[in-house]
Amino acid sequence: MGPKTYTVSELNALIGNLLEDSFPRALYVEGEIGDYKKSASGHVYFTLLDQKSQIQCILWRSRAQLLPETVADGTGVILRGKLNLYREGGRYSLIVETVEVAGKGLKSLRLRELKEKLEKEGLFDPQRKRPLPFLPETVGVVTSRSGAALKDIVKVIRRRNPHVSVILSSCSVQGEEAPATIVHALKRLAACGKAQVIILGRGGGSREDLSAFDEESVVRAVAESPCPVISAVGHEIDVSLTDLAADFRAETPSAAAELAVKSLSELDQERLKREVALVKAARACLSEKEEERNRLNQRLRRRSPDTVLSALFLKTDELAGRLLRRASRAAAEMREKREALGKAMATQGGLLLLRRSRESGVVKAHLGRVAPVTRIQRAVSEKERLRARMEERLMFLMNEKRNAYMDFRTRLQGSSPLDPLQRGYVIVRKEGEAVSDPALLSPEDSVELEWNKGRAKARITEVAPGKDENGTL
Amino acid sequence: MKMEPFEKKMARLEEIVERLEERDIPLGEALALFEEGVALVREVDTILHGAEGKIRELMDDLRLRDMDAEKSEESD
Repeated sequence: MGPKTYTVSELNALIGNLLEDSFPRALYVEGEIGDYKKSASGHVYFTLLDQKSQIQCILWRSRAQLLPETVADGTGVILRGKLNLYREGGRYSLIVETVEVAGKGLKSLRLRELKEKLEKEGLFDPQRKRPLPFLPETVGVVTSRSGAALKDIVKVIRRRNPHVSVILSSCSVQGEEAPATIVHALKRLAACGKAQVIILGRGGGSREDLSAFDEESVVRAVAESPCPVISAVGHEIDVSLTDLAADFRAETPSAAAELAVKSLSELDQERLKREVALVKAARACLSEKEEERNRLNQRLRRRSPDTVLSALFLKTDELAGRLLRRASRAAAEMREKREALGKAMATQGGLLLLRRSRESGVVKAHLGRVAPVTRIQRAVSEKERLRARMEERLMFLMNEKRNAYMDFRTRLQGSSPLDPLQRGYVIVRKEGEAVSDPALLSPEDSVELEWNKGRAKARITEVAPGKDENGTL
Repeated sequence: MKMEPFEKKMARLEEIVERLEERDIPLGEALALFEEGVALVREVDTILHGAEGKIRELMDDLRLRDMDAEKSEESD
């Protein structure tokens, strides 16, 4: 088989497909505008040239207004568009979507490309953002040593919390050398390791001054910082890539300092609030316990030994009362018995007297009638007298026993043999030997008497051995 | 990070206050918690009112050089 022969239409369609499939998405092309033509229909046709080549470009009417007014032949532009093959004409062209004037446009193109690249790498991911330290001890500042940014930052930090230290890692914020010095300053601060948060600042200036903060190296250095970075390089409108990579973004260096350092007076108030709450809670807790104690105390009172005891007292009182009643009843019984006995005795006595007087034979009728009464009276008083004597005797015996006991106690207390001498007792010695029994003595014996305070000699005239307590000799 | 203790202490203080506010807390625990709380307040105070912060510049050899902060504030 020989090589395939295409028709023109077939070939153009094939190439058209190949072309469009190979560049499915929009692409950027840089060059100069030539053969600029605006058709009656409103579509714009021109060619894009460089030193050697050219390419047809079409800007449809709907987008024609995107072309800046100043555009003319020779204007350097960056176009964004899709490739298309005009099948019938066999020519391909760029269907333009956006137009940017080169110079500024070139820059923003690069910026956009860089932004897309870094975005894809995840450098701007919200998840990468770290929280700011609650109370940094040291704030690192990366900015120009002479700029207004440093002064503003120091002023704000001093005002908010004078205990916070500031470490400046200086750099150039504009000019050719700026990106390198910023990266160096950031790395130096990371190596030092003292700062807990970094403010990357730039004090105002025009849009062009920002370029250093769109540099890839700077953006990467910010993203790689070991501690959170607050970017304070942008304007309110312009957002730099550094702003996107930083953990926080502030509009001004002063705002960045306020973000980084909490006001001490606010923190103090927080602390005070907690202190007050602590004391209040402790007091409340204590009074709660106190109330509980009082409640329990009251409950306890109801069951306390005191209460139980008074209940017991009531019972013992009752028992005592019963005991007393029984005792007095017994006493009454005894009294009755005694009285009955007394009566019986009196009657007996009367009868005896009657019998005796009968025996003696001198009975007088009226006497006989009267006698029993006086006899009974006499017998009763005799009984009373006996009882008194008995009591007396009892008292006497008890006294004696008590005395004996006291004596015994005293003797026990003063066990020294000489002790009794102080009370007037005398030791009797015969031939130097103490005499404890008069039976050892005989009349005419010579003895020596010893008092506490002296001695005397004596002669025995009579010996009368006494009874001992058992009554034997 | 060095600053964490402050937040931790503040959080612990909060916790202590909340615990103290509960009705069923034993007295012994309450007393111990109160003591801890008072100590925490003191510690927090120390952290807040530590040494006066310095303004210094970090040199290339990682040494810190005191800066004339007053001057930079004056020229404001």
